[in-house]
Amino acid sequence: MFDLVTILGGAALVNNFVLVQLLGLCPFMGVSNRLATALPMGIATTFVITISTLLTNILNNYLLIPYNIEFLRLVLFITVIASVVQLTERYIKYTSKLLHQMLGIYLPLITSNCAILGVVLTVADLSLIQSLAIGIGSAIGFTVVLVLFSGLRARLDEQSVPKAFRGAPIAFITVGMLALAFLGFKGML
Amino acid sequence: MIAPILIPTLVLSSSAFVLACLVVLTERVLRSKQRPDNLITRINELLPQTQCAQCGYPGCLPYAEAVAQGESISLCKPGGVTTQSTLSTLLNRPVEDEFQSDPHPPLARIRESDCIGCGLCVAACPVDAIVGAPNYLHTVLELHCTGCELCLPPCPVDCIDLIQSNDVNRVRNHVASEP
Repeated sequence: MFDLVTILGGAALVNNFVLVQLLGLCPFMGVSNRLATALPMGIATTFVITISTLLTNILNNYLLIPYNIEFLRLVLFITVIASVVQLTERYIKYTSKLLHQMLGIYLPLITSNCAILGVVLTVADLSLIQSLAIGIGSAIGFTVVLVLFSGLRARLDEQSVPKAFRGAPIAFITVGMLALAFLGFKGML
Repeated sequence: MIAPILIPTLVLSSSAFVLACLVVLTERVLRSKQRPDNLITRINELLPQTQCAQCGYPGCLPYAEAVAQGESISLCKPGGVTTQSTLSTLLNRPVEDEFQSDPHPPLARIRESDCIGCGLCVAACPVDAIVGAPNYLHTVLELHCTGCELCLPPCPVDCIDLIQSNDVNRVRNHVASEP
């Protein structure tokens, strides 16, 4: 049990997919403008990562490895992720049209969020429970960082930033500082 | 011999097929649950879309949702009797005898001596009833004004009055009698 907590926390904070492994920066920069979009996006990504970790792990262990066709991993995993994203998108579309409009293109783009493929490929060979722990942990890490950064950006909007740094440049510098801060979690394990 | 090709093909196509079925099935289920919302959309289409909030709801869509839940159909001031009768046809509900909205809503009128021509009221007006070039006097088209009061808060010099007089009704009747 303690192991699982360590794995979960480690995946969320120490090996944070956005800040430490630098994966999934596109949606991270894209939807962190406002908290109102950052949190739903984080939750949607969490859902997608959890379900696709579960499905790909089962497929990998019971279909790909027994038939010795692990080279199909990349194709099959992307197919699974794309379908789960479609499920999520449809669900959001029918439950909240407003949210669907706010997330816009970034919602179907979860498919090409490399953080998800990264998680899924990393944990494919682990046991189901362990891979789920890593999946959920890294998804929580993604959400936490997204929400944190949307708060930072809201503050940034009120500051008088030099003209050359306005917009994306100062955002990237802030991400760098946030990543440095997250390095501090390395001492936890 | 053929197995190295066949097995991956089968695995990939069958799992893709299962996943596609899952997506389509979910879509079907979600769409079938969508039914009550269609009513809201249809009610919303009948409302004048001025978003004036005189009904007490923040806009036309929230009011449409409330009507679908059983709210009175007589709250829409800009729509007036016309909207109420179309709503009563759609919902199969009787036209409410007591017309809750004011049958003669007041008119906004700009005090010409005070208007600075800032144009803020033009942006606020949901029915485009205020005309005027920037920096020149603005005025209210009385035919289109619904008396929603949305132009009052943005005015920096408070030069918009709401007038309620026989004058207003005379204007309205006169306009209504024209073809």
